Amino acid sequence: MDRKKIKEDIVIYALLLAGCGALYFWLTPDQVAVNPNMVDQSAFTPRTFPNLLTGAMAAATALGLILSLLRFARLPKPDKTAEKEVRTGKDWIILFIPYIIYGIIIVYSVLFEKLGYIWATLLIPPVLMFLFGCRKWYLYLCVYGFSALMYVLFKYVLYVPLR
Amino acid sequence: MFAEVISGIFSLNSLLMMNIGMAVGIIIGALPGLNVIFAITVLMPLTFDLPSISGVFLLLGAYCGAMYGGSITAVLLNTPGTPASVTTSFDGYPMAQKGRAGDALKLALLGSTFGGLFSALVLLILAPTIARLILNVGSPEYFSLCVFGLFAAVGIAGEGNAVKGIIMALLGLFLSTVGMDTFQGTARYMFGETRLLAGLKAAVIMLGTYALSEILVKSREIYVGMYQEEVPRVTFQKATVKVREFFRHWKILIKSSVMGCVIGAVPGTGGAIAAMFAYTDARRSSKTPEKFGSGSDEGIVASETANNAVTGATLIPLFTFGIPGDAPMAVLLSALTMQGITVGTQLFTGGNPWIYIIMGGLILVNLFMLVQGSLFIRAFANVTRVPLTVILPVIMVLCMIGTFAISNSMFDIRIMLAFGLLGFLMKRFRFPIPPLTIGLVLGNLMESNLRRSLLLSGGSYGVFVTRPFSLVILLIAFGSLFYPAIRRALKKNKTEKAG
Repeated sequence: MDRKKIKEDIVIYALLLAGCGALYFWLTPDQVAVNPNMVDQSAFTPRTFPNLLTGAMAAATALGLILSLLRFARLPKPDKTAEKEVRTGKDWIILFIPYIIYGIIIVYSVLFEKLGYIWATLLIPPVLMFLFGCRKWYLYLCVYGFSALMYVLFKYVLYVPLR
Repeated sequence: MFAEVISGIFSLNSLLMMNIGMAVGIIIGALPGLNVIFAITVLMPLTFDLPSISGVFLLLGAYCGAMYGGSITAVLLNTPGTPASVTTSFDGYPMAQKGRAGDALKLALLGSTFGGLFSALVLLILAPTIARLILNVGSPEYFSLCVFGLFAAVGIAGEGNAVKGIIMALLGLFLSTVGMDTFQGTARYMFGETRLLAGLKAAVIMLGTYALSEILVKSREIYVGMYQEEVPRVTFQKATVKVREFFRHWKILIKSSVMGCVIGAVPGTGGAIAAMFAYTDARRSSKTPEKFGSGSDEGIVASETANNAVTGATLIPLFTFGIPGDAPMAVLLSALTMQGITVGTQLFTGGNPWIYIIMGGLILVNLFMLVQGSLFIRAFANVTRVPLTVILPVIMVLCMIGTFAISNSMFDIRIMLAFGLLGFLMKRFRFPIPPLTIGLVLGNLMESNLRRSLLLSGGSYGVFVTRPFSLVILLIAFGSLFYPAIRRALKKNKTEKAG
């Protein structure tokens, strides 16, 4: 398990380091303009603070990468004779379920924009509850009741223009 | 001014918001897995359309309520609702198993109220004094204080996670640079999107990283089988412990309150650390230390008094320096910013009653906790039975409607969704979120003070170490950052020598 976590860390630190490089050499020069007339007046340009942060982030990421590599090198070699773990269907579901739920939440946001709060809330929360294994009808009513209460609160008390 | 403060505290709006916040806070705190930060994050969107005083009372009610609410599940289910209630479960659950659940909850309530009241008084007395003392603090010192606040936030990340904490804090600072640069009026990282002109809204990011990401994390827990829909019905016995019996532990009450206040006032600590310190001290000085862990009254009193004594103390650095000591305070700061309130010494000057209404109101908030806890404890205990399959869709609805309410914009919802996924990935790969949010709210303050300091010094970075106060703060900041690593190394060395 440790081996897997350290491997993950190494990959993430490497990606972050590449991201810092992209920020410093490409994104910041591209997205933060510097007025040449102001440079003479102050050495502190709008790029200074972001560049300082990028540098510090790159240094911290490099440190994390080195520490993870050292930790990985110190680990005992894995037993090659041991059987490789085979992922079952349930394992794959566990791996992907958060992303499926995230997809449903995105659909909810699209419906929220296109159809409004009422229709979006009538359609999506029950799907989510069904996926979570909820089979008690009164619990669905509880969620609808709460959502209706929120609608009244936000629309008529806080004057949020909900549809 | 006194009359204004009193009428501000006792206005119908204030009293109502304190109670609503308190009830919601206790309920959320009592739900396993949802914590103080979550409670005030989901309530935050409601505050934008309220008068600032009512909005702050709503959040403070939720803050204190959630801190206490965590003890309900700790006692009844042996599952602390918040990290601050971990030590409460050591004795609360064994006591409940012995048929004294009511006593355990009453002791937790009385301890929480005492600690909360104590720290509210400390805030009322100390904050104006500290604000007067730091009136003459300059930009270099302010910048150093920001560094201290940030490093303390890294401390929240926990031992062994410092590098990831630093990266997250820096990322938070970086995100604060998005939008218009106030000094030179230059657009930064806007990608042609004019809706980013005012920068990324901290409130939107917090709803995504704290609340929405929780749905994704918990959905996995449901499928892993860690979660059972049927929560066993808890047996609840009426409390028999008397208030005078509670006050027999007066030494523990005072010591735990002081510990909670001192620890709470230091950025980067929090209720869990305070409770742990107080619990350990109470066991060490107890005449019956053998009872700890098997249902000791003293253990519950010490933990709950200390973790609620943190609530007022954490407001000291926020109100005086404008630096949030922990993640809930970062949420509170972003809510205040959205209200147009600038925290810092200026709150205490100019005879504005606002800050005194808030500080005085905190006393009342704690008294309402006692009232609500005494009257509705049985109802709050039943909250622990609400299944996750109901809570998660409710969180989704709250995130969506709450984010939309911030500025009636679908663009904010897209940002919230993006940060929801980022928050999930951060949790998945063990990157702590609090340093990110604290960095985000400290970013502007830090950059403006860095700029002013460099303008004053003619571009020399030496200004931060040549001014004594700034140097001392920086030394403390770096000390707090490296202390856990040094302690670990020393411990390892000691073990090797002993071996």
